[in-house]
Amino acid sequence: MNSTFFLIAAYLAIWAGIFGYLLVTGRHQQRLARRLEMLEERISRTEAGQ
Amino acid sequence: MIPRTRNPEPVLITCTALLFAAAVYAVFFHAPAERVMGLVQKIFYFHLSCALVAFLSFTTACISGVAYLVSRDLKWDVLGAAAMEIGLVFTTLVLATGMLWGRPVWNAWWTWDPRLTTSLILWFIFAAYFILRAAVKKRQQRAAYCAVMAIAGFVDVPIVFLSARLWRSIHPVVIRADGVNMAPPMLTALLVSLAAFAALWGVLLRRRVRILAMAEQIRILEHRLDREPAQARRARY
Repeated sequence: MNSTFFLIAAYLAIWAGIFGYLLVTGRHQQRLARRLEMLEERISRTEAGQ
Repeated sequence: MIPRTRNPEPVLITCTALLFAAAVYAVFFHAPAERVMGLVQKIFYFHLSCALVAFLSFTTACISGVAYLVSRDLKWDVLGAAAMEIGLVFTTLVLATGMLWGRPVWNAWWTWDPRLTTSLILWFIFAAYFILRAAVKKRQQRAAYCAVMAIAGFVDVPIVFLSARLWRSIHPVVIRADGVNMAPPMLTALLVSLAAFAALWGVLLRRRVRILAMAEQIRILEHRLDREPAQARRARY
């Protein structure tokens, strides 16, 4: 294996780490935003009913 | 409450992506190949940037820990936890890229060199922080324990930084007392890479803090929804 292989592997590891983390946190954030919106809607409905 | 303002994240991510494009250009087209190591030395620019960003995370977590212990305000705990998580990601990248650099240069994936060993200890400290976080359920107690852990763990950061200088080490030392030991185009590539990673760190920290704040708000709203039917029943009877 020549050194180019290790160079490519290192940069692939970095991009995979960065994009993977961005993707995971992005999805988590979207899921929480939807849940938050739903809860706020439920609360406003409950308060309107009272 | 989380303010419902216009989300600046797409703009921040675009700026960070542009900085990364500049960093890749500087690393592969501006900086020359190193005379002895050749092309594989180009791992160094992102490797060192990841390491410095991980140090920044640990420093932020340590400062947040002190701020929490002084103020007992949970927002510091949120900031500390966010910084530690990002630090864990970047320390993992440092170890991975370090091994991929070490194999062709030292002919070994891993050696128990002081710099490598102290970096691995740093990774274990980051990981232990999250084990501790998951183990303690009471929020104030968890925040206090994690603050102490972040402060105590921070001791390893200067040790990692100085390890290659204090003990006999095969790890190269770039930042010396008399300046940075590299050619000007290499230094430019390093500085652009550092700027890109610092911007990414800011984006990730902002996002992670926001996620933790949202989770907290969901917890409060769920608690409120659980309580409201009981209050309504009490009012009826």
